[in-house]
Amino acid sequence: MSGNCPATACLPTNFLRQIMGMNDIINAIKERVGLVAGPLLYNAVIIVGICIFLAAASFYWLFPVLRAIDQNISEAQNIEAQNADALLNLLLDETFSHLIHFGEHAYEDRGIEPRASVLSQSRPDFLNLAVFGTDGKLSAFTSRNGSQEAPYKLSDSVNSSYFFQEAIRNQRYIGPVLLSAAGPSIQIAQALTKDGEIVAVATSEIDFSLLWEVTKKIPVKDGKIYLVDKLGTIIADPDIDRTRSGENLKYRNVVDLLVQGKANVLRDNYKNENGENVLAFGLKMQKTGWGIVVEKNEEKAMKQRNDTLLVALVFTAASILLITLLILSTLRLAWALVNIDREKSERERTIAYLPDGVVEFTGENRILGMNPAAKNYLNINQPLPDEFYVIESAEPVKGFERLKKIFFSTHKTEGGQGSSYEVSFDHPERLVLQIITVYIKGLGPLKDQRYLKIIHDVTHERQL
Amino acid sequence: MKKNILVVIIIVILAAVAWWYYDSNKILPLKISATDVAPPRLLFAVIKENKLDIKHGLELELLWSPPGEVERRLATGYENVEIGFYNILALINTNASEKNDLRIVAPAINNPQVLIVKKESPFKTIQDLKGFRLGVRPARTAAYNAESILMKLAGFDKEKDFKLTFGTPQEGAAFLEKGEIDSTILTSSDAAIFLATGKYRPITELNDSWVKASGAPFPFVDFAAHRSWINGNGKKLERFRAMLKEAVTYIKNNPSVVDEHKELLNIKATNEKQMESARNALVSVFSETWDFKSHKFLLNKAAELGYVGELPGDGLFAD
Repeated sequence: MSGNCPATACLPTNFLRQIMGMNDIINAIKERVGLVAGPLLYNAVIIVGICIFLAAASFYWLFPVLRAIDQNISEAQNIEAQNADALLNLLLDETFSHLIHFGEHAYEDRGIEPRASVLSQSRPDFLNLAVFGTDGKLSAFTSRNGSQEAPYKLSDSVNSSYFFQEAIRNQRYIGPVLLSAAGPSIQIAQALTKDGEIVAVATSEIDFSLLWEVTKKIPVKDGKIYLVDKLGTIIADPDIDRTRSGENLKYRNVVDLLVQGKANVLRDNYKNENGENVLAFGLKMQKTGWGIVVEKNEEKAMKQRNDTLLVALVFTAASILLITLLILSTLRLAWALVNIDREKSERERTIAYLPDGVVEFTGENRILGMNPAAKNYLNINQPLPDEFYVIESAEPVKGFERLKKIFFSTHKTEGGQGSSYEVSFDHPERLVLQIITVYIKGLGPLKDQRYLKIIHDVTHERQL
Repeated sequence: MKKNILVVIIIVILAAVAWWYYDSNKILPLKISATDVAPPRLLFAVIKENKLDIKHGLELELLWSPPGEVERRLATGYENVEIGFYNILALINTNASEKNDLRIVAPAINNPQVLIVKKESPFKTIQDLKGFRLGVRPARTAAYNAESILMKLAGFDKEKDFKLTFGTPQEGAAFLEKGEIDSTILTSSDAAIFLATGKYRPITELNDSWVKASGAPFPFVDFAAHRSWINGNGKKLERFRAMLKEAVTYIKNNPSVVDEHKELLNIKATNEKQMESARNALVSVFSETWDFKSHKFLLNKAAELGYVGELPGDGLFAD
């Protein structure tokens, strides 16, 4: 806008430039983008800066915090699953160690009956015990109540049975969970060795209730632990009816992944059997192939995360409000600048066509501008140089002689906001000018003070 | 003027005929939750290969899953399943416990239950198996309910008289093969496939006692849908029923389809006798018509034995 106006007609723009302290860069920007300069540019920069700050804050603060909270939830579930794993392994190790212990005695005695009472006293969860030779033939058998049915009693050899084949390969065997009126049980089997050689296979049916109880014993805040077997069928749950349902839970991603062999599953979300949204963590038991799933109420588990998100949301809302206010302020400022520019243009137009001359200058006598009438009275036919000062002791600049004279005339009359005096010129024709000096801004450092000299032609009046 | 009116009437009639033609020939998609066992595999293979679905204006999308999951998918509306296999007792219990409104829409499979033991095992009767390990389907599934009722009819209590382990028919068979269980209950069609290997032997008492008591084949599973879906999809249902009837008739008239799908059905028969047994077992499970008598008998028996709560009034079967 002001870039297009003639230098002499841009007094208020120049004035504004000085007040705002715009530098060349800003002026250059202003030349290109028009209104978005100076204070508007600062505001735009501030708004962009705040947006960048908020984005950066989210990136460097919020997201890591949310990630950390998520990790904490998974870590807590992992610890609970590891605890269950450790407890189950401890129980199983102990159980297998007893199986070997009793099996060895039975093998050595070639008859276990005398040991049955010891077995039922020390490990009441052992429902029966059988020992087979490496040929698969039964060599000893006892059961806790003496009437326990055992399928291997009905066949000559267990050579083709999976438990025997696994045990003879020196692998621990754990069979599927069986449910009966007496409760849950599993069959386990392991090889008996002597001097490093496999000499027999011991197998036992174990009351699974003790292992079942593990899911109740491990405290899980706002949730529970359940176990699934190698196929994804539920084998232990704090809710006994669910344990007895034999439901295959492979439709849950966490269980499906465990069945597929994944060592752990950090996160799965689903709606559980009670219609509750839960977060689940899965851990595969390496020794048994079972899966341990720690399930927590999603809303409660995510409380800290949700609280953090709420704080972030409030912060974001406040930031959006702040940015909105800044944008509104910027728009108001832009509107004010448009009005000022409009007023300036009107004033410049008025001043430009005034019959009286007007010279604007600072307290240091630096000429800021003048209108065409002033140039005419002062006989100035060239553009005003930049940084042009009128100094009393210096030689007048060529072409600006009259300007120096109106500044340093000896006839002055003080009064009002300034002074009034007359200056006369005889060449090329007589001219008497009345000079009235007024101040616009009289306070502050000299460079910031603003004055006007009003030049009025009184030649005709003085001749009368 | 009269001529113009006549032209308008003709245009309207032609548009109506065109619309009717377009609407009745439009292929409608239908999503079905199907059990991944032999009879449904055979049924839908026949439908697809003979394009019976397209012929009846349907395009079937089949979602296969094991027993138990099939029912869950329909009940929960998993992936917008529209029709699924459902046992009538499980359906009553689902409606009662989960506030569903499922209805039987078409007959599906009348499948007797058979106990399978290893050929060389000493078990000859159910009584012999008492106290031993039995592979069953997960609780709340069609098969589990059927097994329980049939056991009761035969004079046994499945949960008290046996040591149960759960799994799909295939898992049950694998447990049996490895000697981890002593017997597993299978539908006759699944059993036929395992029997065809020559390594197993059936104990048929369960079916015998059912037929003796009811005088009809055992109504194992039907097709079910939510009532809201039935109300809004009359045309689709009508087409589905017609397609099903044609498919079942086709299977019954062409038992050789079983041989043609031997691999799909995982039949490992080594001789014609075994193959014939599998063929007969599979073809006989399909039902072309409703057998309300057997359904009613099953419902009454289930209520008497406490497997379902109060029997619902009319409306369990969609018109």
